Order: sequence, then C-alpha cells, then structure tokens
Amino acid sequence: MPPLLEMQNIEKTFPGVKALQGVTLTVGKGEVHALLGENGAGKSTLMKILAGAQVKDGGVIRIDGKEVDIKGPLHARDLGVAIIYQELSIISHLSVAENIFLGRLPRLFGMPWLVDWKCCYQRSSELLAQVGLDVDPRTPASRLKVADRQMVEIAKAVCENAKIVVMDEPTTSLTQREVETLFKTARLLQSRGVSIIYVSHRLAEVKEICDRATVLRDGMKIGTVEVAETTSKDWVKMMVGRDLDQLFPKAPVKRGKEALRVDNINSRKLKNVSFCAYEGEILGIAGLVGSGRSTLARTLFGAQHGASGTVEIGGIKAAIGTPHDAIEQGVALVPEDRKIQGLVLSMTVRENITLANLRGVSRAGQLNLRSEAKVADYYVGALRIVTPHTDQKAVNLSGGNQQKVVLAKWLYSDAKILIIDEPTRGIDVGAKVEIYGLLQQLVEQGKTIIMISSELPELIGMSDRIIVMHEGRVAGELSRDQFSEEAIMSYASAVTH
Amino acid sequence: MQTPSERTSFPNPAPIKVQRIGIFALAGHQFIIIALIIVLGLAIFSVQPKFLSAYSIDNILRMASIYGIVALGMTLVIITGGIDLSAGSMMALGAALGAGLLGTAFGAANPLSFPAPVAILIALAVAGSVGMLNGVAIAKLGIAPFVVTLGMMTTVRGLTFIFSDYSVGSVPGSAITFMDGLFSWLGAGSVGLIPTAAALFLLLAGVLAIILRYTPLGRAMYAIGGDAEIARLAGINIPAVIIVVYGLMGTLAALGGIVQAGRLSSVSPLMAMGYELDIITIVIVGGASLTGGRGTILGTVLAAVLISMIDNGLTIMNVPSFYQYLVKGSVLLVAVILDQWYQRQRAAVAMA
Amino acid sequence: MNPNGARKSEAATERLTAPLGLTYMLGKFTEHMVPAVFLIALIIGLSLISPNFLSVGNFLDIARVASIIGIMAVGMTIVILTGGIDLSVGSTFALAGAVTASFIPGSFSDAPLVLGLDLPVPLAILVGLIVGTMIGFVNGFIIAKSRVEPFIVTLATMAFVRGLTYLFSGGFPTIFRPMPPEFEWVGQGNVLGLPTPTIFFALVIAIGVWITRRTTFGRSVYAIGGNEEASRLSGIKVQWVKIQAYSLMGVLAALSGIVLSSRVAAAQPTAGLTYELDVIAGVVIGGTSLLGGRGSIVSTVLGVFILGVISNGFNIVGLPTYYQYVTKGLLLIFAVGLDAHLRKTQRH
Repeated sequence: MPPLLEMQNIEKTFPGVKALQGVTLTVGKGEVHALLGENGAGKSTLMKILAGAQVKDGGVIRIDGKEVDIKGPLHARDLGVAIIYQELSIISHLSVAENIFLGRLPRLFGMPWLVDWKCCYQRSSELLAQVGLDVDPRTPASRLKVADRQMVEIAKAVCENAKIVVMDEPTTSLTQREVETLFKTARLLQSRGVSIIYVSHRLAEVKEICDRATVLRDGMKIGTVEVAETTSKDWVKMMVGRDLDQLFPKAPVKRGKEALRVDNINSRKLKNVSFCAYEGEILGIAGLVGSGRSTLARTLFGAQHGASGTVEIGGIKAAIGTPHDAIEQGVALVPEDRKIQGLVLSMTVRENITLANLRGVSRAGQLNLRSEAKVADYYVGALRIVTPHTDQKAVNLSGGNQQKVVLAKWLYSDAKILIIDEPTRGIDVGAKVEIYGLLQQLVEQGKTIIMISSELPELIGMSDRIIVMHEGRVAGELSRDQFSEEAIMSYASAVTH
Repeated sequence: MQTPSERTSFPNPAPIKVQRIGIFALAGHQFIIIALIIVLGLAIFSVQPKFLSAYSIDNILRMASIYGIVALGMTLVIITGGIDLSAGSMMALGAALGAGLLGTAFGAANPLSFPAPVAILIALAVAGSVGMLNGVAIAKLGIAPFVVTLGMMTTVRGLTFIFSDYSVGSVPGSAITFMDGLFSWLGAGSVGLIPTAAALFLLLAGVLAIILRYTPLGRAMYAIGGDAEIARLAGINIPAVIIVVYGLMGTLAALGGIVQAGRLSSVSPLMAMGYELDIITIVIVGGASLTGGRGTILGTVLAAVLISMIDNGLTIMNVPSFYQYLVKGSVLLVAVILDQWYQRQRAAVAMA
Repeated sequence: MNPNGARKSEAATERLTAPLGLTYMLGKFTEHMVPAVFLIALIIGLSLISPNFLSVGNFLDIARVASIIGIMAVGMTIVILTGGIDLSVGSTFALAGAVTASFIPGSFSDAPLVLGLDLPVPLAILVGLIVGTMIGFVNGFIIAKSRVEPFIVTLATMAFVRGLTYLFSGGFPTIFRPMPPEFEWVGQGNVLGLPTPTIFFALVIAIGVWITRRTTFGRSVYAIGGNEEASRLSGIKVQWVKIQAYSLMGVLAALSGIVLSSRVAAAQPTAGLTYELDVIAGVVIGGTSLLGGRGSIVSTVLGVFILGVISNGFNIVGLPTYYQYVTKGLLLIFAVGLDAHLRKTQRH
C-alpha cells in the first residue's frame, strides 16, 4: 500500500533565496510525522506548498499513490489536506458552529438557499465532542481562549474529512494543560486513520507525540528518523549543524551595582512580584505561557496599566506611566512580536532605527537627515544587518534582520536596562548566534538585560540568574550553578519542593 | 517535561451560557435603542403633546421608512466591511428615473412614457446595475469602497441632472412634478392603519433579516466583513457577494427615493443630497461597526425610528432647523460612545 | 555602542550613504509618477481640445480655485497619514468664515447673535483661526482618547459644527458694507502677479512639506499611520501627535474658509457644504492611502490640481456642469484604480 503522502524533490525559489532544494517527505496513513527545523529551514514553505498557498517550482506530490497538482487552497482541501496555521483562521464574530462549517453550511431540505441551523449546531456538537471541547456551538468564537479556538479548527478539519492535518507550531500560545489536551486529540485523530504533520522546533513535544520526524536545515532535508531511536545529541546535530556549546557565547561578567529593583508589583495578573537586576547581568525570566512574564515586561515598560508597587532604577524611585517615560528613564522593551509591536514595516530601516530616539537625530523638532543616515549606517554595520541600503523598507528584510533592526533601535535609545521578550523567536541559527553575541557585548558594557524566553536552552545558556514565574508570581529563583531544565520546569509548574 | 497522566475522559470546562439566537435576537444594544425611543418619546410628548398625535406619528413612520429602506441596504454594505457614499445620489437617480419615465410630468419633454409599475421597475433595475458597478470596482478592481462610491456619488448625481433635464424641458435643474396613483400610494398612502411606506419597510426588513440569518449569502456577508481572507480560503465567492450587496444597495436606495417622490409628487435633481451621512448614522447607531462583521436589521429598524423621531420631535417643538444638526451630531456621538463602553463591559466579562 | 566612534565600519558602509541622494530621489519620483503623468496628460489633452486652455490667465484661475481646496487638502493629508480622516472640515470652514466675518469692521448681517463688535482685521482673522484650532482640538481629543473611529467622530462634529454655524449666523449670510481693503486683500489681492489665495496655498504647501519630511512630528505621523502600536511602544506620544494633527487640520480649514469669505465677499452659513469630499478626493487621487502611513504633500498637490484642471478644462470646453459631475466621478475611480493596479504589479 502506498504511503498517504509523498512529496518528492520539492524545489522552491524566491527572488534571491533558494527556499527548498530537493526536499522529500513521506507520511504514512495514521502517522504523526514531525517536521523539524529552525526557522528559515523551509518548514513553512513546504507546508504552504502542500496546503496550496504556494506553488512549487519543481518536484512531485502524490496523495494515496496518485500524482496531484495542487492548484490552490480550496483544491488542497478537496484533496483532504487541512492546515491549521499559527495565526488561526477563525472569524471572531461568528459562532463556533459557523466557523466549523464556514463556506459549507448545511442546507435545509437540500435547498441551496436556506441554512439548516439545527443540523449545523447538532453536527457541530458532535464534532466538538470528538475533539474534546465542551462548548455550546452557538458561542461566538471571540469568547473562546486561543487553545479552544485551535480545537475548533481541528474540529473543522475533521468535518472536512481531512486525510492529512498539518499543525503549524500549534503549542506556541498554549499552557501545559492545553498542550496535553491537544496531544490527546492528536492521538484520537491518529486512531481514526488521519495523518498529522506536526511542524515544530520543540524537541520535547516531538519526542512525546510523533512517530517519525524529518529534519530540514537551510532548505534541504537532513534526514528522516524514528523518534524513539534518536538521541538528544543526534537531534541537535541534525537541526543546528553544530555543537551546542558553540551556540552560546557566554563569558562571565563582573556584576555591578543594582540597576533595577522591583517591589510588590500587583495587578490583575501579577501577584506580589519583587526582584532586582544588576549591571552587567543577564537575568532570565522563565515560565509557562500565561504565567505573566510578558505582562510583567509591559507593566515595567509602562505599556500596560493598572498595577501598583514600586520600581527603583539605579536606586531612585521611578514613575513609569507610558513607554515614553520608560525610555526617558533608560528602559527599553524589545517586544515579543516584532512585526506587530516592534517595527513599522512600511517605514525604512533607517527610520525604524531612530524611532525610539528621534531627539538624537533632531534639534528643536527638526530632523537632521544626514546624521540619521550616519546612525543607521553605523548600526547596520555593527549588527551586520543584511540589507542593500538603509532606505530599504523594513518589510523586505528577513526575520533575523528585522529583529536586528529592532535591537538597533533600542541600542540607539541608549537604554541601560533592556527587557527582551523572546529574543530569537522565528530566527535562523546563524542570526541567533549573532544576537547572543550582541547580548554578551552589551552586558560587558555594564548594561542590564532582562531576558524572557520560552526556550530553555537559551535561558540556561545565556542567563546569570533565572527567575521563574507561575500564575503571576515569582515561583523561584535559580543561580547559574543551579540551572537545569528540570529545576526550571518544576518551578514553572509549581511542583512543591 | 511532565508525562501526561493517562486519562480516559476529556477535561471538562463549564459550558458557556448563550442566549438562543433567533432572527430577532435582542442584544443589549437594541434594548438601549428601545429605551431611548421610549424615554425621548415621553420627554418630547411632555413638552409638546401634539407629538404623539396620529398625524405626527404618521409623519415619523413615513420618514423612518424612507430613510430606513435605504438604511437596510447600507446595513448589508457595512456588514461586509464596506461603505456606500453614493446612496443619496442613487435615491435621486431612482426618483428621477421613476418620475421622468412616466412621461406625464408637468412640462414633460421626453417621448418615453411608461405605466407607473414599469417606470418604477426600470428605475430600480438601473440603480441596481449602477450599484453592481460599484461592487465590480470594489471586488474585482480592488479599489477602496470609500473612493469608488465617492466617485460614483458625483457621477450619478450628474446623470440624475442629465436625465432630469431630458425628461422635463424648461429651466435646467428644475424639478419634475407629476401626479400618479401608484407613486402617491407608496409615498402618501396607507394600508389599513399604517402608511404604505412603513409596511413596505417592514416587509423588506423581514426579508433581509431572513436573508442575513438563514441564507448562505447572508452568512457570507458576515464572514467577509469579519475576515475577508479567511472567508476566501473557505471557498466563499467574495466578488459575487460584494456585487450582489452593492446592487441591492442601489436598488433599495432607488426605492427609497421613489417613495419620497411619491410623497411629494415632485422630484428635484438636488434631492437627497447629503442623505448618505444620515443613513450611515442610522446604521451605526443601530449597532453595526464600520470595520464590518457586525450589524443587525432590527438595530437598523429601531435606529431609523429613533432618528426620525428626533427629527420630527424637534420640528414639532418648533426648534429651529439648525439645532437639528447639533442634536444629530450629539446623538451619533453618544450612541457610539455608549456602544464602545458596552462592548468593553462584555469583553471584560468574557475574559474573567 | 557609540555611533560617533568606530571608524572602521565607515568603509564597509560607504555604499549605504550614497542613497540619501539617488535612491531616495528615485523612490519619490516613482511614487508621484502616476498622478504627475495623469496631470500632464490632462493638460496636453485639454490644450489640444481648446486653445483657450493654455493661457497664463487661465492657469491663474485654476490656481486660485484649487487653492481653497488645496489649503485644506494639506491638512487632510497629515490627518489621513495618521490613519484617520476628518469629515468636519466643511463645517469648520463655514464657522470660521462666519466668525471672522462678523468681527470685520463693516460687516453686516441680519443675525441677532452677530455682535456689533469690530476688531482690527488681523485680529478678526486670528479669532477665526483659533475657532478652527479649537474644533480640530476637540476632534483630535475625542479620537485620541476614545476608541471611536475618526469617521464617526468627525461625522458627528461635522453636524454639530454646522449647527453651531447656523446658530451663530441665524441662517443669514454676513456681507460687507463695505469690505475693508486689508480684508479684501486676503481673498482678492495680488502678490507679484499671483492671487493671494495661491500665495497662501504655496506657503501652506511649503510648511506642509517641511513638516512631513523634516520634523519629528512628521516622522511620528508616518509612524503612527504605519503601525500605531509599534509607535506607541517606541515612545511616540501617539495621542498628542493625533491631537496636533487634527488641530492643524482645523486651523487650515479655518484659513481656507476665511480666504473664501473674503473672495466672495460674504460668509454663508452653507459655505463649505460637501467640500470635505473634494478635499479627500484630492488627497486620494494624489496617491495617499486611506489606511495611513503612505503618501505625501506633493502627491496631494498633484491630486488637487488634477481636480482643478478637470473642472476648469470642462468649463472652458463648455461641458455642462452635470457632465462634469459624471466625468469627475469616473475619473476619480479610474485614477485610484490605476494607482492600485500599478502598486500591485510593482510588488513583484
């Protein structure tokens, strides 16, 4: 019996970049197959081709042994391919049932003109039960949490009798419990003969749920392995292509005086958060999704209101009500989502770099375009930002280079305390190393870095100390000699000691 | 990483309570409008008892119907996330075509003469086609609705003038005055106790409410307004829906214009100038959002009554007409700010 | 990291600084190409159709009429660049005109509210400008502080301010018996052969270009229109910038209204009705995006002149007004459609 899906020698080239070179992927019926690789490796492109959102330049795709030419997203759906994107395809104002049956609402008495709501709600209830989501199908989707919306998308895939369900980084915004529910549903689908392609770069999850895995790097297939038979070292070798200790250029830095002291921050989400950070140190903040790390960062930066408590910067009490205040006091926040929160994509690299410190390139409100150009050129060189010139619109840069532009912006703001939320999310390995190097340089200059991350290796590799958050409070603190993934996770899940 | 415990049943979050959603589901917003209608109605009545006289109520209903019929079309447009600034011009075009094609106007100069029902149908068809052109430009050419309908507003107004002059010789820009049974019945007549216009309005409202709630076409309008890209990926034929929606808008605007023409037995090529903003006000006060994906027929109907009530109330209290502008502006602002506050409350509850 | 040190990066970055000249200019050129070509094509076409079109006197006519809309269009460009819109400009236009007119010595109106108070002409103009600024400030304040869409807020103020205008003027026009020469100069004078409204327009354009290209305020405007949240998180005072943008719009609407009332020697309470649409049309035809973050003063000027040339050209050719309406409307759709189409193909 032929495998359910065969993608052979897929080629895809974008202007200036070979995204996929001769990539082959085979998935059997009822298999959970992981597609692994760092960002920029080609996973998304390959899946978009399968889902009909991109057109391949070369190669053959076979479903159930028959060669297919996927013309578009609708065609892919008809062929039995369902893809659940990271940014979910849910329309908030519509009900859960309507989202499941979007574009395919059941008709009354076979008449094409009238919708049979009763049938729609009934079948939705059944589908929701199958994926384990106990919600009234008439509920507006806006009332659902992200994890539940994902379940709705899975229900949608089941409804469409999908043979292959592609899940693109499904656990990014999920809590531990929600991840478990997702896995349970995946196993259920598997038992019904549905194949799942699990796109991720999180090894731990892959080890738990996947049968086999294909690893991509730099647009090429590195290998396909049986998950159970692969060791950690093998994984790293395949995905990163180099040894782990080369990844983190951490050198000890003499700790300076206290740079930031936070006392009893209380808000709707945060409970009695207190800690301090020193000059020359990288303070890591760990915790599960929803534990309040980003909320804490935004609160300290003045981007989120409604908190009480005191903040001292360099020993002096600070009043931070808006991001503007924070910047004045030398605090910077490199946000989680660089495209939505970090960059103005329609503006040029140069304009983005100076955005947080327009005063530096202007006098009495009037811009000095020449000095701005010099500043931009300097940072492009110093951070090795890949761009033909600084007038390039930010939207045209790759993820890693966009992140560097955001970092450049905050470096130019001359902040003493940098809060970085997920510094290397969505960035390829090469750029990651450069960014870690940059962080090391900054602390050597006496700056303070507060690094929020969901990547444990990153936290362990770069931090001097780590505080772990759990449900809005500081659950524990670890010094460098106490670092370990187990220690962090046990604090993060509040397992009592 | 913790190993998940083997469970045989799924985790069980508490089901979220949802009201039954029928055709005329009363959401909180509509309660507010009803409350406003009652409160304002009584307030004006206390100042001027004539406000609740048969004549006055008749006036209110007729005016609400004329605006309302057009607002129904605008509701569909706004639900899809668009806007139509050419509504007023379409009203005028429809009225001019309908009255002019009768061939019986005072000083008629055109050789064409049709019986009233035919003239009306032609007018509706033409306006509907122009509306569909709007839809084509928006959906197929990708031009922003604001711009397309802005251009069409001017174009159609020009066409109205041209046709008006063609059908009635004399001084350019003069009105078409006429007398016709069907028109008068529509605009000034009654069906039993209620004005014909109101009956027509309610009938259309019912039909459109059914379309919005129970047909795939209606649901597609909400989907497109919610997120056009997701709707497209779900297989919804966006251009077809958009063209139909703007076509309906054109037809309904023309119908509103015809009813008004029937009421006055006269059509000035300048009529309904600026009406589109009143109509958009009605739809927004009725609860629709300019970003699309939200809006109800019931809300629009209630808002049309409210706005018409305010207009008539001010007139009957002998408030100088320019105050009406002040009041209309304030009503719009208050309604929208109230709605924002209400939405924020609901969001806060949902997140808790 | 200090940009003022580090000599060695300069060599590597040499090819980066050159574009401040060339690429920048090239970019701006292509951005304005479509409306510019359109305008030139219009002018050539009309000159061929009618010899009367191509004369200095006629061009001055065009300039004078376009100036009234144009002054407002500069302000509207900035507002639209922030991602907003202002529908109340026509009403502000009328109110400022009426208020200033009432304070001009020699003004006369049947309105009871118009005070007999006379102020020196410059002061009367100042009062009108202040009224405009205040209306703009209110618009900006509500838009910045609440989450209501600018379309709706300014729709409401449009009605409100029009009502105020009627209230103030009692529905009566304000005329002058006689008009003082200083005020007459404002709308009907000449400076170096150019009509004063055009001089005002030119000044406003210059200030507008300076603001958008060379000030931190202008940079903030583009940033907010491009991505409001990212701008806020970069320390831009979003609310304050918006308030300033709408206030600027208000003062320019007032200026335009005052100039017109001088030009036609009367302040009508119905002045400026539907002008907002002409102003927005001019901005949009020039290529500024209604979504914000993209566009420029120069493109607006091109758009305003396109509209002005069309109106004038058709008058000269003798096309009845109605046909002008039809053509203007279709041209608006065509121009924007063409621009959108070119942008789409340019992306590849």
